[in-house]
Amino acid sequence: MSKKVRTDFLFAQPSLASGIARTLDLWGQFDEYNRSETPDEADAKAIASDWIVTGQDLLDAIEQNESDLQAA
Amino acid sequence: MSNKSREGAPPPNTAVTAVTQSVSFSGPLPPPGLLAKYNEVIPDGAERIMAMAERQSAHREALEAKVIAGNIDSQARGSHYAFIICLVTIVGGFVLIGMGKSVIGVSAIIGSLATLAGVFLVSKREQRKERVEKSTALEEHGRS
Repeated sequence: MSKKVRTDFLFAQPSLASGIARTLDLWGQFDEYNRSETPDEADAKAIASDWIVTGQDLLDAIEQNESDLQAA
Repeated sequence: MSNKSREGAPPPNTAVTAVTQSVSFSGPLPPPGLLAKYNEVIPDGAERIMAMAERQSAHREALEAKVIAGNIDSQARGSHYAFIICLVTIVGGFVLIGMGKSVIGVSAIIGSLATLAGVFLVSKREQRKERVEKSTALEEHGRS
C-alpha cells in the first residue's frame, strides 16, 4: 500500500527549528502551503483526504480485528 | 472402442457454459461486503469493527490536536530562545567591539546571524520536503 495520507497535508508541522528560523523571518517568507489551482480542487483534495484517512482507520480496525481473531 | 472414446465427452445436446466473475471495488472506504463477511464469522463483527474504527478516529484526532498544539508551543519557544540568545550574542559582540576586541565582537555578531540564516534555510527545506511528501501521498492514493 502507498504511504499513509494525513489530514494536515496543507502545511508542514511546526517545530523548534522552524521557531528559531522565524526569528529571522522579518518579511514573512518562511510559511508556505500546499496550494491548489482552483478553490474546487482545494475542496476536493480536503474532502478526499478526510475520507481516505477515515478509510485507513477502518482498515486498521479490520486488521486489528483479524489479528485479535487469530490470537484467540 | 467406440464406447470408451465417448466416456469423457459430454452427452449429446448438452451445453457447457463457463462463467467467470470478477468484482472490483474502488474508493477510500473498504468494500461493504468485507465488513458483512465479519458478521458471518463473529456475532456483530461489523458493528464491533465500526466501533473500533470510530474509537481509532477519535484517538487519532485527539493525538493530532495534541501534536499540533505541542509543535506550535515548541515553535514559539524556539523563536523566544533564539531571540534571547541572538540578542545576548549581538549585544555581547558590540560590547566586545567597544572594549577593543573587534575581531571577537564581529565574529560573535556574524556567527549568530549566520547560524540563524543556516537554521532558516535548512528548516525551510525540511518543511518543503514534508509538504511534498504529504501531497505526493495524497496524489498516489488518488491514483491507486
